[in-house]
Amino acid sequence: MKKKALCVFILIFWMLVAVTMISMRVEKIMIPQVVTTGARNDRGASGGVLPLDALFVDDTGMHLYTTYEGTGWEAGERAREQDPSSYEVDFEAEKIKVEYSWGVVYIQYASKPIREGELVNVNKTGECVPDHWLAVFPEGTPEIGPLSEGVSIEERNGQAVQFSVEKAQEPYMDGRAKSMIPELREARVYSFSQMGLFLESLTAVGLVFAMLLAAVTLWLGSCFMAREAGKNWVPLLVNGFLALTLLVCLPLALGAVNLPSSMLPREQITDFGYFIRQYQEFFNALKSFSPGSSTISMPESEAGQVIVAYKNGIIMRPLLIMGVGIALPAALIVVERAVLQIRRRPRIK
Amino acid sequence: MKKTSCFSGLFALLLAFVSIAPFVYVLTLSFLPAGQRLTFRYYYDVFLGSSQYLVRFWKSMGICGAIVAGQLVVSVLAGYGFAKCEFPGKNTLLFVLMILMVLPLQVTLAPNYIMLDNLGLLDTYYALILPSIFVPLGAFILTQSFKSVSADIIDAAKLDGCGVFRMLTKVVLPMNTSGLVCVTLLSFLDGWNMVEQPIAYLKDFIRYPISVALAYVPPADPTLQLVCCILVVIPPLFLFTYFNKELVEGIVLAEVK
Repeated sequence: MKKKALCVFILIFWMLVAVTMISMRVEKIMIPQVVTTGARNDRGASGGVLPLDALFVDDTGMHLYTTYEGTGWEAGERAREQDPSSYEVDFEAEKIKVEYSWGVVYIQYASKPIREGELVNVNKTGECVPDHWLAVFPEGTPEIGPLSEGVSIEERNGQAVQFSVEKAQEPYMDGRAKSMIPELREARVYSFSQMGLFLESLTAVGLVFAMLLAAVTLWLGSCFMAREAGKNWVPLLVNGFLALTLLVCLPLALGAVNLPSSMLPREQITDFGYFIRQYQEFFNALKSFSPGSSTISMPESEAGQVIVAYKNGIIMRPLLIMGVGIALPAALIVVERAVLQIRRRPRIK
Repeated sequence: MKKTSCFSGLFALLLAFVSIAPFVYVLTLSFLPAGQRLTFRYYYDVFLGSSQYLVRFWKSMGICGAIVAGQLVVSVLAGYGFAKCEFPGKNTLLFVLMILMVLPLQVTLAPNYIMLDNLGLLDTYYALILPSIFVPLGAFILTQSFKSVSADIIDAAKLDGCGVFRMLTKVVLPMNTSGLVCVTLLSFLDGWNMVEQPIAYLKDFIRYPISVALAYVPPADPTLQLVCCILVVIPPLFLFTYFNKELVEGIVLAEVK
């Protein structure tokens, strides 16, 4: 009974430590970056006005958020949704009329969809870097009017348009892109730099999973050996040391996970379906740019070719690492058992 | 005879059901909140979505670890003194210790607060750890436990040249593991479940151990609190499963003597 309890709870406590580290990273990654704005005093009226960009529209309707400082469990700067009756949207004038109150800060842009009460990270200024944007239009590409300086169309077809942007402010925010090119309002927009970061992080994500799987494999092997703990103390000690080493190295692997905020789901980071849908939509749209005669599905633009080539080189790496994460400890357990059996074999003199 | 055993079996079964039912209820509701389908959303929120539940859990573990270590040292020395050393006023002191043991916690809360305030330890973790180290229950249990060690064994050890420290570590403690486990468990549970002390001695919410912070979990969804309960029950569950035998032995020993 004692051995069984110890076996089970060792795994539980190992996992609790690992999950604590993972949750610290997940919490940090999942915090949306936001740009805030104050209401401008409307001349001749008692209220204030906000740019239309501050209105977040999704499947559940329209949302306007302010920030507030939470306390207790909810400590930190958080988003609070405004009551729809407290503001009025004027689509023609492209502004939101709100009750003017001094010091109230509204969220104008966010790197990912916001939830009520969610922690937010207010981003003051971002560096401007060259980037490429891919806009996917589920209902067909509309006419795109004259573009602002530094923005040009690289490729387009009936479903998607690829833009080259000379000065895109970091971090990428969907709303900011849509305010720059108003025709993108109905589109899902992806940033090449963010997709690059996403692909880069996949290896580290694979490594984290591999570490967890390795620990479970070591634990399974050790549980079998723990039946004769007195005789098998050396391999048990080795496995315990390896499990501790994995735990110590876990923060290093987690530090390399740098999933871009704009590619993250609204609710849970474990929503793998969301990631797969985004990945497929992005690369299918790029694939649709490839010339019909070509046998290799490569887009014509250089940026598109670079990211597709990068994806092809990296995509199997996380799975491979996870495989190694199971295979190596399993091999170690087999070797340990073999050594134990050889040592216990009666020797004939 | 058969009737009695049947009745006691049924009674034990009923008692087991009454004890286990709340836990099963909490576990079920944490996966199946009222009016919803099977969901792991709340487990995600507590174990992955936010680090503050787990960080607070480990902080509480640290506080309890310090309390257990401190109380073991104090209780072993005090218990050995009361059980095996002769000094004037020993019985009176033991009597005072027993009176202190039966005093409710609320009585000592205010004096402790004044002392901690004078020492400048309020709103620190020391305010939780130090008073809990000197709780007399551990000393009482170990006094009873050490009394079971025969005087002949002590004398033999002394003849062999053992000093007090060596005798404690090599002779007396190995013979009283159940008492030690009992003190460890009880002091850990005392620290793990403390509620009044953090509220009285700490002002900063960030320092609250999980036992108190649980009461402040955002009330929007009670299911989140249930999942926190599952997290909180893990360490005591481990200790009870692992030290079950020793705990029963230790308590019986303390009572019989």
